[in-house]
Amino acid sequence: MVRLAQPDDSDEALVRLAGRGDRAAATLLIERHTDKIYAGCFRMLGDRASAEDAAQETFLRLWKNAHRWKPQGAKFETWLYRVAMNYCLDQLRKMGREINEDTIPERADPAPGPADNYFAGEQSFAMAGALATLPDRQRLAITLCHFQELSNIEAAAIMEVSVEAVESLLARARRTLRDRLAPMKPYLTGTMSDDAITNAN
Amino acid sequence: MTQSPTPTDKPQEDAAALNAVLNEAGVPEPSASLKRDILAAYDGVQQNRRTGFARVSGLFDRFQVASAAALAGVSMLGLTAGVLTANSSAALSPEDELYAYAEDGFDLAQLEDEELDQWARE
Repeated sequence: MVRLAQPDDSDEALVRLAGRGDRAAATLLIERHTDKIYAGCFRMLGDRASAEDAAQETFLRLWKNAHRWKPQGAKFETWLYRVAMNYCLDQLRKMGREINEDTIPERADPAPGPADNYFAGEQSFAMAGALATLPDRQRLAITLCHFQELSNIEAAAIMEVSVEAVESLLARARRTLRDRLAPMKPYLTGTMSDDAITNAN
Repeated sequence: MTQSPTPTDKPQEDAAALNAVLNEAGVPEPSASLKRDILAAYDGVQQNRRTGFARVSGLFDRFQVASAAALAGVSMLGLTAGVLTANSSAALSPEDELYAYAEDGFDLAQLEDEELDQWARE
C-alpha cells in the first residue's frame, strides 16, 4: 500500500516555508502564536498598545530572519518567546520603569472595547497592579511559568539562565505577589462587600 | 463548629489563593487588526526581499554582459595580434639555424669518430 507523505506542518517547517515566501505558512504561524506572544507581552508591559507593538516587532524579527532559520538550534517557540521577552525587557529599560506604585496600570482604559472586560475583573486589575510592581526578571519568570504555562526548563531556556535561577525568581515573585495582594485578600476572594472595598480604597 | 486553619495549613491556603487569583487574571483581547498587521509586515518583508533580489540580479546581469564583452575584446585583440604577426619574418643567420636544430648542425657520429681517431693517435 502506498502511503502518501503527510505535509510537515511543524513550526520549524512552516518557518522555512515562510522564509521562502510561502504566505500560507506565515499565516499559520501567526494563527498559532500571536495570542500567546501578545499575552506574554501584555503581562510584561501592562498595557494593550505596548503589548501589540511588542508582538508585531517580534514577528517582524521572525520574518526578517525566517530565511536563515536553522532548526538544529533552539526550539522555534522558545526562540520566539526569547525574542518577545527580550524586546519587552528592552522596552522596560528604555522607559526607565521604576518599580513603584506609579507603574500600576490605569484602571480606566480610554479606548472602549474588549479591554474593558479585562479591567472589569477586579481580581485581574489587582493582579495587574501587583505584577507591575515586580522586578522585571521576576515578572518574566511568573509570566512564562504561570501565565504562559511553560515548564521551568522552557522558561530557563528562554531567559538563558539555569532552572535553579528560574525557581528562585519564581519563589521571590510569588512571595512578593502574596505580600502585595494580602491586604486585598478578602476583596479578592469575594468575602468583602462593595462598601468595604470602597472604604478600603 | 468550624475548625480554624492550623499554622501549617496557612501557607498552603495562601499559595492556593494566589494560584486562584493568578489563574483568573485575564488578558484583554488584542485588537482585531493585530494579526492582519503582522501578516502585512510579512508581505512587506517579502516585497523588500524581492526588490533586493531584483536589484542584485540586475547588477549580476549587467556584470555578466560586461564580462562577456571584456572576454570578446581580449579575444579580438589576440586575433588581431595573430593576424598582424602571421606574415612577419626576420632573416635568420646560419648560426641561428645551426643552433635551432642541433642534431642537424652536427653529425654526432662523425664527431665521435674524429674523437676516437684522435685518441687512438695519442
